[in-house]
Amino acid sequence: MDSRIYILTHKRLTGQLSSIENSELARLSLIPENKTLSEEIAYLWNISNNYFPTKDWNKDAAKDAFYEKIRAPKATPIPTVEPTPVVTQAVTQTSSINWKYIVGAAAGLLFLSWAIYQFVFGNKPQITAKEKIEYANLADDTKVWLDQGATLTVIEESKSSRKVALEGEAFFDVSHDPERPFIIDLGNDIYARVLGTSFKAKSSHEGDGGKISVRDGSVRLYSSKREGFDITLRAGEEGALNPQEDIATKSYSSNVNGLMSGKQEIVFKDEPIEDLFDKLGLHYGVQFVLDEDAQLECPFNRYMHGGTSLDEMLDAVAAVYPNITWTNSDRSTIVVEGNCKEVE
Amino acid sequence: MKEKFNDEEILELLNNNDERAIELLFDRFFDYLCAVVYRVIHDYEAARDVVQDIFLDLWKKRESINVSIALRPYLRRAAVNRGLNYIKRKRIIPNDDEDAAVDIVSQVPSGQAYMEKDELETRIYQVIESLPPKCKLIFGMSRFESMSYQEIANALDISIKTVENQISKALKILRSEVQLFMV
Repeated sequence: MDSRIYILTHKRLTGQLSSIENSELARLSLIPENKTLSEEIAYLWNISNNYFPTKDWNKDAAKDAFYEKIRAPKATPIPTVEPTPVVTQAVTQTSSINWKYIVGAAAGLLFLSWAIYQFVFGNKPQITAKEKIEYANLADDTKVWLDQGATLTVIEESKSSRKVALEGEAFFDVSHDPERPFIIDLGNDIYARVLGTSFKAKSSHEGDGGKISVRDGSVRLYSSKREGFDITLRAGEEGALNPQEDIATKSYSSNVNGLMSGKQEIVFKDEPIEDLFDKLGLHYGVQFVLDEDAQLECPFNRYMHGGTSLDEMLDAVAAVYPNITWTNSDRSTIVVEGNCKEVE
Repeated sequence: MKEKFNDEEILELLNNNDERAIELLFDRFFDYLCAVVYRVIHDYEAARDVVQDIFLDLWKKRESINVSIALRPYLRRAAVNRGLNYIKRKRIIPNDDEDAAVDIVSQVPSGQAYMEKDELETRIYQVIESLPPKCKLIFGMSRFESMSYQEIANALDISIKTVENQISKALKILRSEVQLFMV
């Protein structure tokens, strides 16, 4: 049981906790000893993130070795020998015929794949987060952060409607438009409908129903096949709908906002960079000192896992604002310089 | 005083065969990248070699290289990937002796009821350095590279259960050693 607390707490800290495990952890944490243990693990985990081996990496020697390598004379090329013309004409012809078949077959396969793709998806824009979280800014200025493995397909973008399909998990910041509701097809005839709000959505393709956690505004989660089988969720609430198992749940959600220890997501919405560094400092236990010439009046938008390291957070800032730089003046103080010129 | 170049300008120097680019890259990123790789592979010489190879590759591709994001995350990702490839290539999956005692050098006076944050951090770093090799490797992949259980299992060709056991073991050692230190 002791080991289970360690694993569940670690999964929570790294955003890998399933909803079942979340309940299990909540149940185990009712015992005061377990709760204390879990808090201690979280504390140590957060502090351990600052670990950065400070060694003498002998940069100058590495630099010298580098220059030695790039200036080394190139090896004398081995003289090429003209091949003896022993290949017969018949062999050459056979080879040529094979190539025709291969090219023809490949072209046919390509066309078939294209036709199938067109049949299934038409020309609908699609984005998939293959290896990392992907950000998409849709035509109506809705912002979407797709979790790793998630796919978003824009089904309709018209004067009267906005409709997308989601497979996997994503955080949405939907631009407000009372004339055009934003509808997300979560699979298995479950839909989420909003006018303008931010929330996290999970599709129901894995068989556990569509799930929504709302940060602000409200979201209606409903089944297109069962009238009246719906729930409306408001800020701070999360809910799930599973018509197959006749389950509709609604509860308070604690994981949709902000940069807090142990939360499964980190969401920044138009966060001024200056404030961002304050929050990162508090969260990661370091002090950010802003250079007096730094110009940091710019917004930062990002959705990341709760287990994100400080390096990754800083990398995310650098990816948007490459002119912002930072240097460690000592292990716990980081000086920030530069300005907010965005990457083009 | 050294001239300040931004990422774009360094890349431009690189594209133009200007060796100042390499000087700047070494000065700005070498130590940082070595530390990043070391946190994954825990081998001083190998970490330096991995980072040096990254700079060599940059130089080889200098005329065609096109980096669309900031250099720091770009190089960091390259360093981590190479570190992980190094582990795979060398098949460095240490077999820890489950009963091996963790030998951690304590440098703090006894009887101290609490620790300053700096001291606590130092202690935690000592414990991390002293974890059994396999445990340290898996803990580092999770803590510093935010890799999921599945990703770690795939990278090291081990089961998710093994990853769970090693993470749990690392956290237990960390907690018990830091607690001992605090009493």
